[in-house]
Amino acid sequence: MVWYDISTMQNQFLVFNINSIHINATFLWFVFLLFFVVYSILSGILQYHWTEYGMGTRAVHIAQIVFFGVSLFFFLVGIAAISLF
Amino acid sequence: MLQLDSDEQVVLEVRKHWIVFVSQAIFLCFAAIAPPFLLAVLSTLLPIQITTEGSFVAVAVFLYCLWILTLWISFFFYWTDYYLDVWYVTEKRIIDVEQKGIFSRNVSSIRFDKIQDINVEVRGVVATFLNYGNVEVQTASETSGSFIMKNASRPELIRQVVFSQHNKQSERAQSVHIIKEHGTEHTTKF
Repeated sequence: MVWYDISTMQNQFLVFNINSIHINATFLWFVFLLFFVVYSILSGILQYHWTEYGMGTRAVHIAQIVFFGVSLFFFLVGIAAISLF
Repeated sequence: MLQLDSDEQVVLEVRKHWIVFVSQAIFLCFAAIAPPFLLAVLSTLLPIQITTEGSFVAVAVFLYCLWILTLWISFFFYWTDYYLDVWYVTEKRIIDVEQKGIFSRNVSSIRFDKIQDINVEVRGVVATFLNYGNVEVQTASETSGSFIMKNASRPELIRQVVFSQHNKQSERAQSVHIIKEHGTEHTTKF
């Protein structure tokens, strides 16, 4: 006696039936913008902690420069990649 | 911001050894090189066709930049957690700032006259070689219990500095200040 059909059950749990993804420049800019918003919130949290509790030490100042410097570099590379897309 | 008295100076900052931070953050290095392998595995497991209007290399570079930025932020969250978890040994007291993650923070302090003993425990070859260990400051107070810094860097130095400050504090407590008629202050020891 057959109680279930495997192919039918699989289809019940498939929420997204994606076979192909098409990427265009608009999609990349949208991803970039979304990421930038999240990045801004998280870096704001870090900045708050460094300013409020870092005691103004040299290590914290260096960390700020390195963090934002390297971040800027990768953001510029990301923008360049979309522009050359 | 931590509030110190006007005549209070920080003598020593005590943190966990850098190896603790490195051991927590090391997986980020592996995560940084993971995407090409992950892509290879996913392309075999998931039969999804990805098409682009432009260069696929540009898309790959763009996504990799976002990935590295994500790891970069994670790295600094780890570093902040490590750096803000600290003891400040001042001329008057020890201030224990306990940072648990990013959003949990506990600050407590103990005066030197409440300190009963300091235990230093260096266990293992790596800890001996890199000079780190557990430091426990036992207090006379029933409410505050003891201060413990696990895997603290230079534990012997911490003990020396704390004892030194403790002795200075005891000497100060035994002093009597005599203010003469001229307004100048003299200190006499018993």
